[in-house]
Amino acid sequence: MIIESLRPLAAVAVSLLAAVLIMICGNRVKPDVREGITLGAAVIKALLVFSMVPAVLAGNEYYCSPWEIVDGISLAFRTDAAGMVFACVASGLWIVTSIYSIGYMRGHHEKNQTGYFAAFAVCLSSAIGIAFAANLITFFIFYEMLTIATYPLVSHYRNDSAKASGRKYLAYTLISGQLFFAAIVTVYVKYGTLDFRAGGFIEAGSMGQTAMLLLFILMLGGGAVKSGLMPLHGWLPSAMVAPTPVSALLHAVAVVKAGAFCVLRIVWFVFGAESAAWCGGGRLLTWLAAATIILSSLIAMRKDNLKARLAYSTIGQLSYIILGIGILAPYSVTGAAFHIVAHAFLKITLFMCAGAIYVTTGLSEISTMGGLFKRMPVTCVCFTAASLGIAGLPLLAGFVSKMNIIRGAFMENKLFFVAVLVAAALFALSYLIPVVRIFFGKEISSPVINEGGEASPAMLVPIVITAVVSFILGVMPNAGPQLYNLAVMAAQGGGPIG
Amino acid sequence: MINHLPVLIIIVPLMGAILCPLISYYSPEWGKKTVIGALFASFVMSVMQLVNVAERGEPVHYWMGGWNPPYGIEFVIDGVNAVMIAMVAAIGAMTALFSSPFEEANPKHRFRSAGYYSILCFLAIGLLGMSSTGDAFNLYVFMEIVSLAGYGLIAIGEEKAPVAAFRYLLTGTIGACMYLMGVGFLYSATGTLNMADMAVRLQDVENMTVIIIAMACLVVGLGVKMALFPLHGWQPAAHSYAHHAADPMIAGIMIKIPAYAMFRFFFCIFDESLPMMGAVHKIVGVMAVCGILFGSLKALRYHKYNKILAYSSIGQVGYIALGFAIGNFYGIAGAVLHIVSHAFMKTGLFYTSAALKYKYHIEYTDDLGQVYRKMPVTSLTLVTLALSMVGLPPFAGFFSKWYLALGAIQNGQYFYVAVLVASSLLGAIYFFRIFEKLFMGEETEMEDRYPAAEHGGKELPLRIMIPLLMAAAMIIALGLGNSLVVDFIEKTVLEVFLA
Repeated sequence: MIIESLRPLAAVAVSLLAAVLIMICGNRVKPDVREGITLGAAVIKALLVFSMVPAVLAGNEYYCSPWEIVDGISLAFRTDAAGMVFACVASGLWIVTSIYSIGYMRGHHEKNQTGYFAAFAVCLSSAIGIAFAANLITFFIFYEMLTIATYPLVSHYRNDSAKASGRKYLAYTLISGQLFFAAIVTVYVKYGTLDFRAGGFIEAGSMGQTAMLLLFILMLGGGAVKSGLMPLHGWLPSAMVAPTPVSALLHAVAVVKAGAFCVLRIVWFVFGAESAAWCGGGRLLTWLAAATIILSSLIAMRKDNLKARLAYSTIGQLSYIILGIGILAPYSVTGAAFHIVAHAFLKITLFMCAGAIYVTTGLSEISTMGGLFKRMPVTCVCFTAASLGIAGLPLLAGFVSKMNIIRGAFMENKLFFVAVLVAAALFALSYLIPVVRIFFGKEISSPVINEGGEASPAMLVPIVITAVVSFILGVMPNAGPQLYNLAVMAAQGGGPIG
Repeated sequence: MINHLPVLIIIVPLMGAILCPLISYYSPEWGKKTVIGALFASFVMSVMQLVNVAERGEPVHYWMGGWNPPYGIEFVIDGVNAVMIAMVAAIGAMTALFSSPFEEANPKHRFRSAGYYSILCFLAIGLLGMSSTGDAFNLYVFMEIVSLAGYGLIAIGEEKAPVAAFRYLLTGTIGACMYLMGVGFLYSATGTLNMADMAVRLQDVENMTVIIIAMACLVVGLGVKMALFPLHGWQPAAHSYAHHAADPMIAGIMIKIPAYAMFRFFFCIFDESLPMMGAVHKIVGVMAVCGILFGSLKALRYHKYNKILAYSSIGQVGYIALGFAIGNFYGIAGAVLHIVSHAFMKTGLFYTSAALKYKYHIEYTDDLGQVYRKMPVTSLTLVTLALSMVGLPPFAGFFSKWYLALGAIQNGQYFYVAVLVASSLLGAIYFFRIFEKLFMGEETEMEDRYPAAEHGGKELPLRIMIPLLMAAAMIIALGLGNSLVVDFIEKTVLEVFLA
């Protein structure tokens, strides 16, 4: 059933308004007021999004199309199950990241905080817009907004390395975005519609095989860049120069997930399994994703900088999602959709730990963190739990999603990918467990570790929350807003779980 | 009064322009106010006319002195030019308002300011006339008014301006002559100067050589006026050195209305059935593609803000011509939308350029470091308009690109889409380079000529800030409401294909 409601639009607009408010107030008001706006908007947004979950679970959809955005196509928002998964993750984690940001930015005495919080709010608006977009043009508008809003975050420090990584980020995202644009126009001319439909609206055989593969590549270029699929991942590690909450946002909440979600939308809701398989795009995705998983793990092992190691881990984990989608089996797509959730909580925990360690002790290289458990026990425990989750150990969120992807691969008889997935789990252990061992080691490698105590509560509380949520989702994937059921519905193409 | 709107829109500013020097002799302040008031009145009337055309659903015809066409001069206001007229009047009024802080700085106040406002008003009159008229020769007359006003406004600019004005004088005259010759050939073949009548009579013309020569003359003539590659030689210098306050109007709309005239000739007077029309479209397409690439690449080479904007205009005019070359509904809709949106974008960007010069005398982008702290409103406008220029949603520039790409793909012209994509990316390079300077560059010591502390905390006079913000607001409104504009012009454009 379709429910006409302005709620999806409101969920998008609330953080946009917050951004405008933050820009206007700027440095004229106290930082507390400014951050109050951020937090208030985050809470309202999350409430709006979560309030729509029950109806969506029952098989309904909220729909709203405020006006015609171009001749013949409306700006339209629709809350299907897939969109809800992403929206719940993004809006839920925005609250957590906001609290953490406040702790981090103040603890680190960052400059230009007004611009930072405003851009952050625009990013979240775009992420929700992407999640709820009902057609490709609405999707594209928010996709490009996300690109632009992330740019000031990536180049936050405004020094030469920040400028360089900002340029790199723009080069990757704008080029792929423009190609995406050309592909969208082509789709509109050829098929006369841009509305997402479960099972896709591009029929196999409606154009030449090569032509369709080309279209597939152009469409997915944007998603592949944002989700860091090799060989298009170059921007992600260099974006590490940004402040840690930005990395957390980039890696866990908005940007890379928007990329992965874009892949899900295009493959599952524009092309559909049949056409994606027919033109060979699905196979291309799976092979690229498999290669990315292996290569990124190998690179991650060699990185001594904690954030860099996590960055390569993100590239690998995002490729799990893409691999799950590329296998084109409902189970694997369920796994992929749920991995958006699982990885979000796990990776944000890891990044927030890295940030907390950096702000509290000033350490950023793994080799200097020996014996850190003594000074920051809570942070270290959360880091360990999240690491195990990333590796896909049972009882943690990563297990649920990975098992589903493997199950899908089995059912499609793609045993090679099963092997890749299992190997990747071992790889993940091999690059994260050494970090944990160093944390818990007896040897203390830096004198700072003997001073002071844990991170400030504004940073510690979010870390504990996300770590606990990752654990809960691992044991009861349907706890709270039933994200697992939503993921199943997304893969089955709507309809309540019967 | 509603019946006389088409002519009043031009007569009122004309009276203003003529009265301004007389009044200025006694009070320069009131002379200025006369012009600003006349242009605002014209703007209000143009909006009324827009509403009127929308309500009637068919074109408004106005016969000068009651002489019926094809003998008398006729103004025809349909969906497309009602939009053009409103756009010209809006930018004219905004620019007149914008000018006053710049003219106050002038020592020889009385005569200089009288001349300036009068000429600025004539520029608006010429452009309004060019957009209103339904008579090919009358269009030439208004085009000459525009050119003469343009020479004057360019010449009173910076130190190098007289040379730029002279150069424009030479090329502009050649362009106008070519246009006049084209009209002459058409007159010899059809015996009429009325556009609608000409379109009918062209069906029976047998001597096609004359028509083909006329077409070539018109492409060159209008091409010079709209600075279409390779006829753009005069434009970069003229746009860089012109009077700071008049520059937004010169750069924003002086090159757009000839583009609108090109639409009239290509689609309303000529039609597809004429031989060589396909070839003309192709030639214009080639010029457009070369212009887009040339303008964008050339803009990368400069550090002078005005030069970057000027070369970017050459590229953007190429977008408009590209729409005509595509020639189907969406191509034309994209071109018309781009005329309007680029007019506001470029006018707005030149406002920011003038504002930067007004406060800090910044000419080069290298001096922009950290200016955003000192001029937040200007910077906000600059960012909005530049993102629109690059063609990023949800700003107007994206949507005109959308329609152009849509039209091109409908015709199977994928190459044009590739050019649009490439041009967006090149645009991103030079505009993001400006952003980098603006937000991340190193601060340079500059004399603040309008200290905020002495002016109640304002970064600039309100008369500068309001037009700036209006331009940014228009770009957002045109972006989000683009389907309204397309619906409005739809009927007129579709008639082109029915004929």
